[in-house]
Amino acid sequence: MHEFLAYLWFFILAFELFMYVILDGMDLGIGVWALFDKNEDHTSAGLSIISPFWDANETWLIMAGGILFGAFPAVYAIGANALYIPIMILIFGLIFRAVAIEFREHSKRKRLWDVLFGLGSLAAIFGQGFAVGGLFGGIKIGPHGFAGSPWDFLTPFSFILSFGFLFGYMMLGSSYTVLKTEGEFQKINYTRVFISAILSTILTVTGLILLPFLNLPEMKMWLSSPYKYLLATLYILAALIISMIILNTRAKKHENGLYLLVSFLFVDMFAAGVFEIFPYIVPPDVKIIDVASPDESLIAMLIGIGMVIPVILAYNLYIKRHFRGKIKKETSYYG
Amino acid sequence: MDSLFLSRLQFAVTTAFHMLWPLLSIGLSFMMVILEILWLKTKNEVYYRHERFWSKIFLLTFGIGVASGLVLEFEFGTNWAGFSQVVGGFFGNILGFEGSMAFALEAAFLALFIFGWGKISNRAHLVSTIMVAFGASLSAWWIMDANSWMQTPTGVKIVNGSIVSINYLQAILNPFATISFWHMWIACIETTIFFVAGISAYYILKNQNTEFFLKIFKISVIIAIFATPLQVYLGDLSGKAVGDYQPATLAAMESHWNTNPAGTGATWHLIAIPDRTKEMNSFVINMPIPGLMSFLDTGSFTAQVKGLKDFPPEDRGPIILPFYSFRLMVLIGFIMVFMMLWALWYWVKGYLKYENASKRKWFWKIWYWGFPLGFIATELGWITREVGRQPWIIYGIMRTSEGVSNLTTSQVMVTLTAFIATYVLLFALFVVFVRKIIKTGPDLKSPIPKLKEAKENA
Ligand code: HDD
Ligand code: HEM
Ligand code: HEM
Repeated sequence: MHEFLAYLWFFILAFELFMYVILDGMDLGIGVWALFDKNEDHTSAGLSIISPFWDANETWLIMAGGILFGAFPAVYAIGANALYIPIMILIFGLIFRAVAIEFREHSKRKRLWDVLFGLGSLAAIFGQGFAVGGLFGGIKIGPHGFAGSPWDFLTPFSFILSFGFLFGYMMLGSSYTVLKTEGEFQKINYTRVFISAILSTILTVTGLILLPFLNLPEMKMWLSSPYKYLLATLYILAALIISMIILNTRAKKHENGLYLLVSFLFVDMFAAGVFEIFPYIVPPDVKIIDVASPDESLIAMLIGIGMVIPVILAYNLYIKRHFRGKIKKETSYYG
Repeated sequence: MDSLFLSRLQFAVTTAFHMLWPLLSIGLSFMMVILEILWLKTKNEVYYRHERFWSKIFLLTFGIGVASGLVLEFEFGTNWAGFSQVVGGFFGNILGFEGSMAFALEAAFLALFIFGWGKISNRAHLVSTIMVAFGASLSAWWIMDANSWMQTPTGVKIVNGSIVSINYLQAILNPFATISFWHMWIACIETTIFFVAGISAYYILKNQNTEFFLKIFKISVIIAIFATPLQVYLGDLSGKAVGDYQPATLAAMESHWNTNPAGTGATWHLIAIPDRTKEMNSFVINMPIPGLMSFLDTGSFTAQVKGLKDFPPEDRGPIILPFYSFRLMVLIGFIMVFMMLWALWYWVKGYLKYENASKRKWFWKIWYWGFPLGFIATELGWITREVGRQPWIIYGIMRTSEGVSNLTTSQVMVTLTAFIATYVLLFALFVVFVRKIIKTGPDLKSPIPKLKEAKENA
């Protein structure tokens, strides 16, 4: 029973994080691209796409945080303690992203806020990349909790991973923008998807070349994982999807297809990440089962959170329906 | 300065800052529900215009509230790992409930609330507004529940630093939960109506849109008739609850050193200067009502109130801060009641009529300057509560010093400085933009959504 509940919560946690990545990752990607916009209207268009939703999207992160705190308190506590610096970078990034979106409406100096919006998004992405990189790299635990140094997260691996996050989110943001816009800005975004796909490929190849020198923790997990073959399949699939994305951006025909492909890529890579660490939660030695809360908590959470998740999905879908189709220019914040 | 002290300071700065925004977003969302219902019922467009006007300020506060709230959720782990690791099995669940039941609801329906005007049916829009307000208040319930459990930790059994069993009902309905929630919720409502009334007074003083703002001023006064006395009552109940469950906190809040002998009442100090080493007050001014402290804290003029000397020195927290912040909060509570009565009297006398409004300069000036009262009282209330709880992070179970993370001083120093700088900036920008919204004034011209059911998108 305990084992079942613990694994169930591990997968619910993964689901929440995935929802965050796929939804807010798109917002953050649009934020980064805003730094490269030369045209004020383009940034406004990007913001119109995300302004109704960025808050709801960020909520998935808050829920995931709550679940981690409730179901695996030791991981939440020791992890956040160890990853103090990346988490603070993430937090400050999200603060500036949020207020830039809200304040821009009232300000005449839009460009200033656009830059802040972009830099906030960038900081949030690197915070996430370094946090996950630090977690995968292993965390030193002593008798009184975290026993490492604050800079342990800073490894070549977490650098590579952070850039992986960056390019992935940029791809996600631009492919969604393709779906929601028309004309010149849409064309620009086809190119942006192309650029980010190429950058991801270069990053992966570089990572592979550096592999023997970096002593990547991921490599060890990968080789010792019971899901070796599943993982290999997922990686091969990822390579295939990336090439399809690149072809698609050249053809510039299937808007829906493009966004779907990018989403697939995310599902694929995320699943690979989850199976790489399962049944551990903090590699290399903390197992999910060892750190789960008592059954009473896990059951209470099933009632208070687990059963609420389908409801959340339902009303989010209901609301999203009202925002179908291409964004129109006049969709401003108070319009 | 060690990382414990800095983490406490950082938590105090970040919560105190965060607290400002939910006050308005809970209160204004409630106000907007009322305005929308009034508009749909009376078909008077003035209510619609008001809702749109105040929703601009609501959105600004909401944005900062979300940004600063996220900080707190992660800070439990980053700065209070010892605490989080032990209590996550209960405390973390409650934060999870808050996220999934309240934040998710509020954030999702916000999209329809802001962008849905004229696009969805009026009924669907009203439902969205209600969901936003309901989500906001529900989040207040859960967070107050979590905090109250830290004050009166019932229902959770902790042995050797880990939870061994939880009685959920007992833990969720801990002794402080209900009373603290209502005190907090009314604080949101009170703060908001004084804020709204203060801004209205500003327009009335300037003779701009006087009629329009008299309307909302009167609505605020009507709400104040209920809220202000209720808050005094709820505050009194809170004080009694503190006496029952946290006697050491109460003794500090009252700077009360010696338990009064049975049969005599304890006197209530208006002003006191406590002296820790001599264990007495080196200076006091008392209220000339015998037994008032006993009465306020228990309901009987002769009941015993435990003094600080009954607690070992290592279990005594700070005294001056809770003592004065408590008194100032109470003072503001009474000022608010009197302002409400004053407005009521003027209303009955007909001074709030459009023709007479411009004459009562002092009345409007005082109401104008009353706009920050609720914010100040709330912050003072929290200082009383949180500082009064010290040296415990979970009252009677875990000391604050045991809850802190393993961090270096410079780590916390850097983030604390960054938070202070960021928050000062955000606060200043908020003031700038709210002034801009106020200078621009309400939009009285743009077309209003048809009152018939909009078919297109429904
Ligand atoms: C508009 C805001 C406001 C106003 C007018 C008052 N309060 Fe208050 N008070 C709060 C806002 C607040 C608060 C911020 O909401 C607190 C902090 C935590 C809580 O539950 O409520 C609080 C806490 C709080 C506590 C609990 C302290 C603790 O738990 O250690 C007491 C005993 C009182 N209040 C008493 C009063 C009395 C007797 C008041 C009236 C005369 C009063 N408050 C007015
Ligand atoms: C929002 C209004 C709040 C304010 C202004 C506030 C203020 C403070 C202050 C001043 C301290 C430092 C006390 C001291 O160390 O002497 C503190 C500590 C703390 N408070 Fe609150 N608090 C608020 C709400 C909450 C809530 C809702 C919770 C829990 C859900 C909470 C949990 C804590 C924790 C964990 C600490 C750190 C440990 C400690 O120092 O006691 N606070 N708060
Ligand atoms: C110290 C404990 C607290 C924590 C950990 C906390 C956590 C959070 C988080 C994570 C958010 C962002 C949610 C979003 O994205 O929608 C938030 C916003 C919010 N918080 Fe807090 N909060 C605390 C104290 C409080 C208190 C005491 C109240 C009210 C009584 C409150 C009411 C709200 C509300 C209504 C929001 C929604 C955003 C807004 O309206 O400004 N919070 N909080």
